[in-house]
Amino acid sequence: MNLKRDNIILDNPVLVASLGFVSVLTATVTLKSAILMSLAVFLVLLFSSIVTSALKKLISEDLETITLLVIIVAFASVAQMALQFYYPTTVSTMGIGIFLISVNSLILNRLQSYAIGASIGEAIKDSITSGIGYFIVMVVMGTVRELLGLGTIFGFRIIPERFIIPTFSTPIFGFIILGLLVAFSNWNTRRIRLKGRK
Amino acid sequence: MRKSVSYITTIIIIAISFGIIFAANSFIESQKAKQGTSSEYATVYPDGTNFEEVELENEQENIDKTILVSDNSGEVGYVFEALAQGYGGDISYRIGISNEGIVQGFEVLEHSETEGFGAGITEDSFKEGLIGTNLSTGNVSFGEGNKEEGEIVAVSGATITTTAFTNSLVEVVNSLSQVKENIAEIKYVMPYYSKKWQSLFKNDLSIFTFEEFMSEDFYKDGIQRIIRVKNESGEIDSYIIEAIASGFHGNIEYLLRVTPEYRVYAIEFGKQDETPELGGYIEDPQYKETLKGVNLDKNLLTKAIKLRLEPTQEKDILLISGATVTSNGMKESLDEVINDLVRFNKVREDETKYEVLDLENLETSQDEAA
Repeated sequence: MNLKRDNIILDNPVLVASLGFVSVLTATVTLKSAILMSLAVFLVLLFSSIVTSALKKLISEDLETITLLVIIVAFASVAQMALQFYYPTTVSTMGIGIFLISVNSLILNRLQSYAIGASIGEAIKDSITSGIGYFIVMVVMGTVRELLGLGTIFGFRIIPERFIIPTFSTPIFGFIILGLLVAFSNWNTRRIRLKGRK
Repeated sequence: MRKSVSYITTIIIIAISFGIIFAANSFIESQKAKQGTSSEYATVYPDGTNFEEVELENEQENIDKTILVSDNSGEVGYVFEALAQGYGGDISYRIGISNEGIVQGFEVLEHSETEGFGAGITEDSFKEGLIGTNLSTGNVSFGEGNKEEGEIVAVSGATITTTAFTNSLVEVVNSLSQVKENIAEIKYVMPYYSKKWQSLFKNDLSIFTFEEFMSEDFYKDGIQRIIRVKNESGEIDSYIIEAIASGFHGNIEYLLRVTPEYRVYAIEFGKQDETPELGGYIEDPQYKETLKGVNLDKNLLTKAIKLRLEPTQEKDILLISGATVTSNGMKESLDEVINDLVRFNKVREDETKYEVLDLENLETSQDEAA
């Protein structure tokens, strides 16, 4: 099985490995915030993967977690500041999600389980595929929630105000949609795996 | 050896991380300084070049920020950041108004999306209907969109939003009118409803004399007008209190006749648009009957009006089932009336403030106005 496919569908970091749920729930009220959030997470993951992989020989096991966290925090703070500066209105709808980029479990998990033991090229590849996997989930969630909760896509009204279901904007419905996605992904992965076995 | 190296590496990484954060921070700060605050406020005031936060006198509660806008020729207008309180929560918005009272721009900063409330005013069509509206005429309303007369194009199907927004906009214009003389204050003058007075009294109105309590400072949000009623022998018979409560469909205007000890004698409603089967019950004689005898004196054990399904105490009023908003509006308004009456009690002896009303002319002038 090739690596690209691995992180996106079969080993999707959110749906299969259950990583980064908080940001998926808080930042997907609108499609725009979902896209911004996944881009931010992707860039932070990419840069910290490169740094981690470059320094892998210098980081001892004892200090691994703290060192990785410091690396993530450095890039996450930059991402947070940039987002707040360039997209102040969108950030206000993301709520707490924007402050939680640095503790996104997806990033730490990818660094600890992959980038620390891989070459720079492989680490970049892995962060790109994980980023795409995360991006897909965020976009699907953002589209569904914005369309049903606010009746718009990217701010353009598609469903008239009378027919929207505002509860879809609340975190609990975010969780329900996420649960449905996880269920779908489980079914899909099992199907693909069974096919592979035959 | 290996260990100390790794400690040193970690410390160096921490130091470099701090460096990165610091560099990014100073870069963004310098970008901010370059753009000035204009990046933030220029969206609602495109012509302005310089934006400076100022404090206006008597700033209203719902206005968060006032920003003085100037361009190369000098001061040109203001940007206000204000809140509108609606059904689902606060809507925070930003509006640019020129010195002539023309709306330059509008932007919703935050609204309670979870309730789906206020979605109408975030749309571009609403913004376009607002820009160019003249707010200096002392009138702000929603309608066809006669911008010269302060009419804003109405958003269909968003009554609560537009009402909340209008109320907030009135506050903005009123604080602007305090610094700019050419901008008229928006004042809502409640009609006398003198035709309804007869139903407050058992006797014929002709035996009474009516004197209105006149004071610019006294009337605030609660009581709109107090009229002293004297009987034939010149004794104070009662007071007519006119006030406005906020109901489910806009304002409810009502008249109370109270004794000199502030007990309710009778109530009449001037204007109300409540749903007939629900909040409209306030017009029912039965409901009016339940309000009779309600004590509006502050010097009682319970200070505030209570809503009850079966009113028993002197400060209980009926909670109309199925019309919580209306009932609450009445309760809050009566609480305000109590607070205002406390202030009134201190100044009510001041004879110079009373002005005799001519009942005949009152009605004709009202007819003309209508």
